[in-house]
Amino acid sequence: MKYAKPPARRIVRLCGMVIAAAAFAMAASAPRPANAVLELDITQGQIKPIPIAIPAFAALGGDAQIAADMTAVIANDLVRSGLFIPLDASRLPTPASTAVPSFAEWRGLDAQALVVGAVGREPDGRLRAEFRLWDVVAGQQLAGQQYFAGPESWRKVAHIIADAIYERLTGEKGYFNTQVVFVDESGPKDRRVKRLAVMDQDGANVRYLTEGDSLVLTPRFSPTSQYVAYMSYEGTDPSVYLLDVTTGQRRLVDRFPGMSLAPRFSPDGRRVVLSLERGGATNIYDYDLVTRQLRRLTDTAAIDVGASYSPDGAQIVFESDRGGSKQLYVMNADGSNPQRITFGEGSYGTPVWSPRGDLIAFTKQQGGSFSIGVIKPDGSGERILTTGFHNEGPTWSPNGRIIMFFRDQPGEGGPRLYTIDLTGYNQYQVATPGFASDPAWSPPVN
Amino acid sequence: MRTGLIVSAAVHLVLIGWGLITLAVAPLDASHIETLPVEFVEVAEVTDLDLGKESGEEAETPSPNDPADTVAEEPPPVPDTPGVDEPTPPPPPPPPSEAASAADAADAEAETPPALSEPEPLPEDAAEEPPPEPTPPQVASAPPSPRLRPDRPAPETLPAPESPEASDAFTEQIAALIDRTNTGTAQLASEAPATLGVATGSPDAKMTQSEIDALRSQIERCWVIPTGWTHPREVSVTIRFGLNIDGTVAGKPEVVEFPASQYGQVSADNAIRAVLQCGPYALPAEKYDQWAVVQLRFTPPG
Repeated sequence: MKYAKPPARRIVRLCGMVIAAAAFAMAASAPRPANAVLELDITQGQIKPIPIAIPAFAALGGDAQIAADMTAVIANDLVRSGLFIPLDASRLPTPASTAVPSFAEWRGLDAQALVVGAVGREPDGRLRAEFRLWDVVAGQQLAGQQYFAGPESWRKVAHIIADAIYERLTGEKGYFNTQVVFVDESGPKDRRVKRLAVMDQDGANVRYLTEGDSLVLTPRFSPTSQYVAYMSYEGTDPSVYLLDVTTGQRRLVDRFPGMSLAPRFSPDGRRVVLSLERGGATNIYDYDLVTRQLRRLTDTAAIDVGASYSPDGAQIVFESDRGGSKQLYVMNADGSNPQRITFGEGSYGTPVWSPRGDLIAFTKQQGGSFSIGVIKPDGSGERILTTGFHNEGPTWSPNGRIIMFFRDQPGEGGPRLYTIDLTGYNQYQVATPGFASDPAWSPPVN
Repeated sequence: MRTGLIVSAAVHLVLIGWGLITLAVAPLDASHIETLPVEFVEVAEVTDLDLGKESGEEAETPSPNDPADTVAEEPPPVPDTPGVDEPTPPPPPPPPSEAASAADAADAEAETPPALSEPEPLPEDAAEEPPPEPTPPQVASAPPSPRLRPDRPAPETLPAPESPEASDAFTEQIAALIDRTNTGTAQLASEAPATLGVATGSPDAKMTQSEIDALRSQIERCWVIPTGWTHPREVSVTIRFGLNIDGTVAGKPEVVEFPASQYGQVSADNAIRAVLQCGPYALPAEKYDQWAVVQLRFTPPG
């Protein structure tokens, strides 16, 4: 007890300090008073295309026709994406391309964005095109570029400008400066000539890549180069060829015994995945274009075809009738762990993995009609985008927002190409010289 | 032995108390509800006709808040109030509402989000809201509230000291520490909104739900969401702007937060466009201090 008092004081002091420190810490973590700011959550909006004004580009050197044509190509690209509504060009004033526009006037026309451009010629004959994209509401410039090119490339320049506008207003890469390879069909039905052809994504600048002396099927663009892989019936068996779109040169990939079907490139462009028929069963193989090694990925007595890689190259989606009817399956790229992802009524085929990786497009046959639809890779969220007498062969735009396919309608005599967006509401025919089928979209063109 | 026990018990108590407070206050993730002010008014205040009557008798009760009292050396006890044996407390702090708004003003200055520091400041009329009428120093030097006095630990609860003077000194030190911290806690707690709703919303809001809804729907009419924006996480954006008293947007809205995705810039532009396009906003002018600065978080439906 003798020593109890002084320690007791220390204890008191200690306890007091501990309590004080704890209380201080509690005070520091206590809720703070709110600022006098009115805070609201906005969770609903208008899901609709952006109203955009694209008055005719000014013709600096008197090339009024090129200026008008370029304006039309840009407007056409944007409206077909489904994300923009260009205002009626005939009722728009023509602003000077060098001055800041009168925003109040454009706001009065209900435009949210304004494209002002000009086209002229350089002394050396090159085309000079420039544009500015204005935010009419905020009154500021969003983008502005100038391009020089040969006069014959005016369409390409127009597509590049449309891509720049699309990217700045949606946050996504544009897809207008791209090409589509397809099978051009001409002649009477019993003597149909099928030629491989390539065109701009809007149907312009068609070039033929083969002569039409042999049947061509399922062309597919390489994701990394200007090569197209396709099947051609020359001789007894169909063979897989590679064709350089820019030079027109082609080479035989390999001669595989038996029937070979539907080659498609891997995302790195080094391999193709295809189906080979051997002993009554059709299985999926991958073929290394450099080492010429063939590797079997599936091993069933069923028919496995239509393989398509995921954009990361880790998985493959394909169609198979191993379960009785044609359904879609996803497996690892080495062929392991196949999982069925479609369970709906009808049969599913021609799966194509989106370049974004989030969806798989397919053709579905049910009750005498063919539909184009999309489904998530885990098998959920199936949506039909269009349905009719015969729709088939979906292919994705490089940004994964638009699907092109071919449609055969009774009485029309042959198939035509169409595009549709992921809402299913914006559907447009792609103008081709004749009938067309089996479209395949190119990667972005540099 | 006993010392150790006491120290151990005290530290354990503090630790448990600390844990209870800090671990148990995980915020409930309830859906956001705007704070609705509810005011209780006694019917007598409205119906008492004597109130403010010219013929009424003049009350002679001296005001306890009279500054003169605090100057007095020996404040005389209030005659009719039994049991008051302490000196008259110094003038009470400003009324809670003033204190809160003053603290708001101080906080608004001190806690500006980092995202706001870089863009140009809001226009003057917006930035000056709320009016910093009571200056922050007043709040800092505000004397402790009289009702906190009972919290002061009584000397008799402490172990009897050998030297009364020394013990008193310790007690005073500890009491002073506890007093200061308690003052802060009590003041903050009293300012916290006592109703359900968003703590960061508008605790003092006098705006009605329909006025808030009208503002919201007006902006929603102008917010164009491009089709294909299927990932709300990637495009959610928060902007802040000042409003003039006529409902027009003051200056250019500022982006408080936008996603680090490819859609970030586009989302911010889109939200600002919606705000600018839909003005002016029809809001009650008498409640201007409630909507002078608006912060909106745009999140498209998933």
